[in-house]
Amino acid sequence: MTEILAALLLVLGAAISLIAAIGVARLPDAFLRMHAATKAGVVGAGLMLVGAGLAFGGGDAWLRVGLIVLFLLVTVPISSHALGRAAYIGGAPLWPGSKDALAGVLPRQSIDEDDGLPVPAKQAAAIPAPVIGSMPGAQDSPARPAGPGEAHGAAP
Amino acid sequence: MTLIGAALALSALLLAAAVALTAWRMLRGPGIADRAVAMDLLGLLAVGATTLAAVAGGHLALLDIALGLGLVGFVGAVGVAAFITRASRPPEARDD
Repeated sequence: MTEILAALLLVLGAAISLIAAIGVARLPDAFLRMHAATKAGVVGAGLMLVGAGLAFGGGDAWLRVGLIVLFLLVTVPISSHALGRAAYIGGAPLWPGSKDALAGVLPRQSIDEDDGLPVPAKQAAAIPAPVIGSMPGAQDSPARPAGPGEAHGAAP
Repeated sequence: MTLIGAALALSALLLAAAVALTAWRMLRGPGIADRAVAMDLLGLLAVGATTLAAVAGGHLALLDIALGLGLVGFVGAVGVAAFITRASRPPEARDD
């Protein structure tokens, strides 16, 4: 009986992992792909782990299985949230059927649809870089050592 | 072949298909966010595959390796997310 249940859970977990992978391959934008990867991925891995716990039996195996499942349940939402936020800020295109609920809440880089390059970076690249050594006052201020942050601000 | 053995073979087949699809998305992109999401899922699939290997070989220690893989996947995903966020800010808004 335990063996049947363990086999069933292992196959079910692998099948749900495959569904997650199909979602990642087929869904139309990065956010929907993340939705498939995290939820179905955690359920798939968790079911396989519980199946392994049943197959092994014993407290040693269940301790490890419980730890891993708890760890996955705690960390995967955090990492997927961070990835989704980064994707939004980085300007990953939204599927046309979805609503931009974060417009005005988070800054968002705009991406040129032709070549996929970010628009502000192209503008910055179009401006010729100033020669830092020739600027007045750039070298004769030993009392205030210029940090890397100041080098950005002092070169418009 | 025992029941568990058959289940392990079938699960390994399904997981291989899942890894192939995820790797295709990782190579295809189109953006860095899509690749990062695919990497996140690959970490989860690696945890599952290591679990299958633990059952197949009867080694409990492989479950510890699965825990380590989960940890590495988490740290990697958060690191990539921080990188994307930092690289996307306009130059005048950077304070680092």
